[in-house]
Amino acid sequence: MTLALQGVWKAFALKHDVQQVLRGVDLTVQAGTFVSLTGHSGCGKSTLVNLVGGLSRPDAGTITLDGAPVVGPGPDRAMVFQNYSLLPRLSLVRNVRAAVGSARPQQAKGRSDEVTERYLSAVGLWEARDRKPHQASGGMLQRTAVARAFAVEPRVLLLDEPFAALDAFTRARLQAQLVDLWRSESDTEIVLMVTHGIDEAVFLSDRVVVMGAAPRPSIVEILEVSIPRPRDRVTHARVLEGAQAHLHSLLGDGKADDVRGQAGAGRVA
Amino acid sequence: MSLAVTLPEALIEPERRSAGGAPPGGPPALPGRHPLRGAAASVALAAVGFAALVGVWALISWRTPSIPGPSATLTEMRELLRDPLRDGAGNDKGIFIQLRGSLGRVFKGFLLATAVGIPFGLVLGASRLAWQAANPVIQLLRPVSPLAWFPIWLTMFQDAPQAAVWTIFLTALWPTVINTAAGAASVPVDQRNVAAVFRFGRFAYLRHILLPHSLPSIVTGLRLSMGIAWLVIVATEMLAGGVGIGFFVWDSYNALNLAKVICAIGIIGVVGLVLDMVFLRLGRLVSPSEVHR
Repeated sequence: MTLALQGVWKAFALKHDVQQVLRGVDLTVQAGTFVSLTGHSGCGKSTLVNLVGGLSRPDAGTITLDGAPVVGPGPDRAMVFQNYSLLPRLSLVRNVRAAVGSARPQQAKGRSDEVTERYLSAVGLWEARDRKPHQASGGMLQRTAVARAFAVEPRVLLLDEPFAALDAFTRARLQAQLVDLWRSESDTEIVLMVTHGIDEAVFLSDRVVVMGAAPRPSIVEILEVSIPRPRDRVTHARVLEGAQAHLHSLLGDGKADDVRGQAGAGRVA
Repeated sequence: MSLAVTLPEALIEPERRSAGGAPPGGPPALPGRHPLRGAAASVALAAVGFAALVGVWALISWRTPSIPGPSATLTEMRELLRDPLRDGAGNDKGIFIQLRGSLGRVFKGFLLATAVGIPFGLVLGASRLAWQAANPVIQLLRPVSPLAWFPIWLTMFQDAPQAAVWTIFLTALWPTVINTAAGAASVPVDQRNVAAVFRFGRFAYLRHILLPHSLPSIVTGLRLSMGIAWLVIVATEMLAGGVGIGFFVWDSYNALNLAKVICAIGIIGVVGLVLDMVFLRLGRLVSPSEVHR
């Protein structure tokens, strides 16, 4: 499958003017690719992921999956949000099950139960399945959110800063788990992840899309990371560091971008 | 520390003693707190408040002999509670029978208001268009005393007790509608995104997101509604007549028995307090055990 964005524009109305967040974005992603979107706050990376997820529509341009235009949310795309966004009154397993049931209403009940168990087990939470969100740690919540997204069996997985709220150790473990699920457990073909973490972007991705705020183009550069998988932070340390340094130099020359970006940080409702 | 257990007190340096757990003799009094603490203090202070009230009351009745004092009222109260379930002819009813009449009307009106107010509030909270259409009307009608509607209901139903129920309905409607709408309107963007991404249907959205999120505000609305309904029933029954605590007050005044009126004030207060506490408990029961993540 191919995810294609062509000439995508998206603007947000501010108090006094209009901010063009995405300015003619062209991006094509082939099956089997893990893509990270990175850049300063306000460069439109969350906006882009929300557009692909169908949570909002572009002002101009097209988004297509294998040629079929994206007009709204669909079970072929699932999302993991930054702040977990589990339903607070449902247990972890019921959070996953409710999402599967809603996203795939045609699916037999037994099949829905089965994928729910499979992915909750895959993230190591089957034993803790009956906990309510307030009885679980941040890491457990985010693993549930990841399991929920995979359990819908999407072809494209969208992640919006999924590990930002976690501590470094939990984050590293979840990154590994995510890649594992994607590569060996699921049929998900494309992963699109928004991240502020340059280290994370390089370590996980096949391609890192560096985004910029106006007046720079929306996509500043696309960096190919051709380190073979499974990757290892120790053995691949030199290549990883080289790529990270390159990204730092790309993002470090933002100048006024930083200040503007903070004020205009936008997430689509 | 095991050290603190095995060594006699005197052998431990003061620093270690304070570091090894609670110092002997219990925790020190927290600075800046009143020496009277806990339940005993609350009871004692409440007693002081009530004593002051009774004192002022006694003073007023001493200066104004037509107002019965505490002891005359107490005698009357004993009289009222001697046969509270008396169910005689006409208006010769025991105090509990009067209360039952009022509570019945309040609950009928309140349940009607709940049945209409919660769905209406959810719609207003979930739909911006509905809110913009309804809000001006609500803002206009809300400040109107529900008693102003009484003649309308009386004309429509030709029946005073039923008109009283509808007056209570209108009284109890607004807080439920407004609080439900506020709760429903404050569903976080993240939760709405989850519903969109996983394509929750209307029913799943209502059940998993809208209702659970609105529940605490709904209960707050119900509590406010019940509070005002209990306030308004007295005045309504003064107009409507029949069996009820409001008419009992008015009837007692006409019979020049102010002691009964004062008794009724006390009883109305106790019942109102109990109703409020029930809803407060209910509110704690449904409040989220932690901030929504």
